[in-house]
Amino acid sequence: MKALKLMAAALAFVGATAQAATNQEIINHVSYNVILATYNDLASQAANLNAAVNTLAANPTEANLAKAQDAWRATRIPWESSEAFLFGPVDSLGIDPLLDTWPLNILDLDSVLKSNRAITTDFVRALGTNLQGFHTIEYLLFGDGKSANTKPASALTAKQFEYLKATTALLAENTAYLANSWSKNYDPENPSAPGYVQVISNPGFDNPFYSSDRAVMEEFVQGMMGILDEVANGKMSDPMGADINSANMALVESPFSWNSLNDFTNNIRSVYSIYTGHYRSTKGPGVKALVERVDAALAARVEGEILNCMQLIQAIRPAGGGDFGQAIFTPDGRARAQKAIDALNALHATMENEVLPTLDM
Amino acid sequence: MKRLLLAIFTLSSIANAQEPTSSSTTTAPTTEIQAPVSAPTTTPIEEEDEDDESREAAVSTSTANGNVEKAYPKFEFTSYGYIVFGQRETFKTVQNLTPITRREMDLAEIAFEGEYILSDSSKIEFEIEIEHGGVGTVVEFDPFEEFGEFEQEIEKGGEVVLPELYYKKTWKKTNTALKVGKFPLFIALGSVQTKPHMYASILASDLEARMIPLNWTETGVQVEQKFSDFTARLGVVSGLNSEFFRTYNWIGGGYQRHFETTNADDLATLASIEWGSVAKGKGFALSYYAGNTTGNRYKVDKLKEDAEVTLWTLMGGYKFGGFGFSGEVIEGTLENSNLVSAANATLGGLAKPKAFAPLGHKARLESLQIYYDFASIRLTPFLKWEHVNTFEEVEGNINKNPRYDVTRNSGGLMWFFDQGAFLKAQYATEVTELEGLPETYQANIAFGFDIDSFK
Repeated sequence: MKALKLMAAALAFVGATAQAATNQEIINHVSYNVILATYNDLASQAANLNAAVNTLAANPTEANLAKAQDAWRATRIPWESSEAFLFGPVDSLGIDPLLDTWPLNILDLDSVLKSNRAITTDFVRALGTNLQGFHTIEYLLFGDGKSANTKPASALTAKQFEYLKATTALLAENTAYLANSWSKNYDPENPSAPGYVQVISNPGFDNPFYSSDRAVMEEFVQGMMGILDEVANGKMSDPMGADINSANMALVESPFSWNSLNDFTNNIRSVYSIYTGHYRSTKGPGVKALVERVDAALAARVEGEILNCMQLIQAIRPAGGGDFGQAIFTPDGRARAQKAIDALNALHATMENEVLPTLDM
Repeated sequence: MKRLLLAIFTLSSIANAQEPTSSSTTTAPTTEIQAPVSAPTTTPIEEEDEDDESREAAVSTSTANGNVEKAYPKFEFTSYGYIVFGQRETFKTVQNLTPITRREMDLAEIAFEGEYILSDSSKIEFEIEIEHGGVGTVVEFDPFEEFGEFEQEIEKGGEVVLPELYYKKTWKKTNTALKVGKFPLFIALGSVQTKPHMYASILASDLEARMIPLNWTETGVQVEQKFSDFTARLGVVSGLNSEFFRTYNWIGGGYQRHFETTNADDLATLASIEWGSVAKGKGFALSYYAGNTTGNRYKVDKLKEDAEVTLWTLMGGYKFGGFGFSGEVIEGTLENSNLVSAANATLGGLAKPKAFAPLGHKARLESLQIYYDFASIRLTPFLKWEHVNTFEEVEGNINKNPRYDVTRNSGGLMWFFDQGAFLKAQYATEVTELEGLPETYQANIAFGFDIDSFK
């Protein structure tokens, strides 16, 4: 009986191996159903945000402000869930800083708001990246974030409405441009260039960027490693400073809306999406399927580490209210944050030392 | 390029017409290195040019003494360098209003300047600078990498640069000179007063670098004509690349020293008229620079409109006994600054300007320094006022940014405690027109040497 069970297990293993996704299937799935789908969601949510802000400007009620704030949070989800794949047009076309430069330059923004210039989309476009994008909208919609993460609709001035309309229209334009660069044309200087999704999903000798499927897989793994490092050692460690006295609220991302921990979690969710191939209701395969072919235990362990990191980040949230910007000023909050940082760095080491080498096996 | 070739051809013709049919200095080259020679003071013209005529006069004397066979080529050498110790206030981020204090030490610069004197009327001059103790950075443009990327290799923090390398021919009968190669532009105090003994502050100008290239040199050809106490200059030089214009230094980043080669699709015209000697602190000059910058961009399709840079400079100084003053006013215009800003905003890779794409249409810099020279003890205390605004006027959708309207006041002293060695101390405060941004200070002490001060 024992022998039979072993044989059945062996057959199941062989069957599973035989049915394992090929590299091309993984690449196709991740490229179209994770990355492209994320950018399409981003463009769609940004258009919704623009509409919500226009409604708020036309009718500045508390309900409409709440809808605009919700729309901002909803747009933030696909963007932060894309940070494991900040390669391709988002980098080469310089779109990342247009959407998400932080910290916001509040001094300069206040200076602009005091000027007599008519604020249009083109005007904001010319101001520079730290006066447009997500965090400018966030500051105007949510207030300064010091003691609360919202403000009354009556606090919004006419000039702020002008600025909000212009900068959300620009955000919608830039996210649509990003989605278009992945779906239709990755190089505006070359109208015959296809969407980047076609480039990355068709590696080969005639592909100018990815000569093999291994090159694409490495792009995926390096992308995951990049955001793990940024969340642990940039977004979380820098504001914490060396000790509680040197903690710096000005370095916290999304401090006005108290959305920092959701941002970080979604950053790691983007790692999860690339790794497993799961995005929203869509299921894999992702890079995990490749790792499974070499080491099934490792493949499962990495998935567990990713989920654990997301839980540890959410656990930083102070019980009495607030977000990451408040947690780093308490000993308990700092301890929880350090635990998450350690887990993220450990996951980064696993990616570098164990997952990356599987590409060569 | 046609203008450049035409100028070279014309000047070569003039040179040939003036040259004697047989040279008096046709000797075999020697490897003799001679110490710098003191400048004779027998003719007014020899006093005019700080670096050139004095040495050429010395060479002429040598020729007259009958040492013709061993006279040329000669090599002359000078050098200067300094180390800066400083403390300054800065801000952690653009949101912070409380300054933090930083202390710094910088092996700021050591420069080696040499001259190969080829004849009594021609020479090759060059200068090698080692900045910040480093060995070099280079930005490379790779059109075959993805979308055409800018890549930078950094071996260390500083640079080794060759800011000057030019051939100079002088025709004494007509007081005409020709420079061909890479030479300093006669456009601002920072590129005219090139050696530490020429100015009392640690840098000739602290704020020039916020508006134009610091120590600006370019490759090209320049004719110089002296008449009485005046010197006129007319040149054609390599232009700027507007791809690297940035908010924080206006056209300064367009100086194409980042690259191994210089794009020369757009050239610039340089003209000036000088009375006396600005370099020596007793003279005034009016200078003009104009050149398009669009053709020198790497990403050729991002900007199709012209982006001509025009600069007017009035600079100079004078000394009455021990009391002296110097200063400059630079007015600059960037054509289609809003279109350049928009084109730069979407550059990728290392060229990405991030928040620093917006550019002013007109920029202005003013400075005034007063000093008293206690010649007997070689001590020169000074006071200096400088102001720069790179958003003096804007075009289209660009907003005036008061953060770049800067006033700087400083005071300090220069003391040559040894014949060729100096100590400079400078304390400066800086304030911008941006409401809420507090005033900051900077204190520096520089130790250095300047071999040219022996002259």
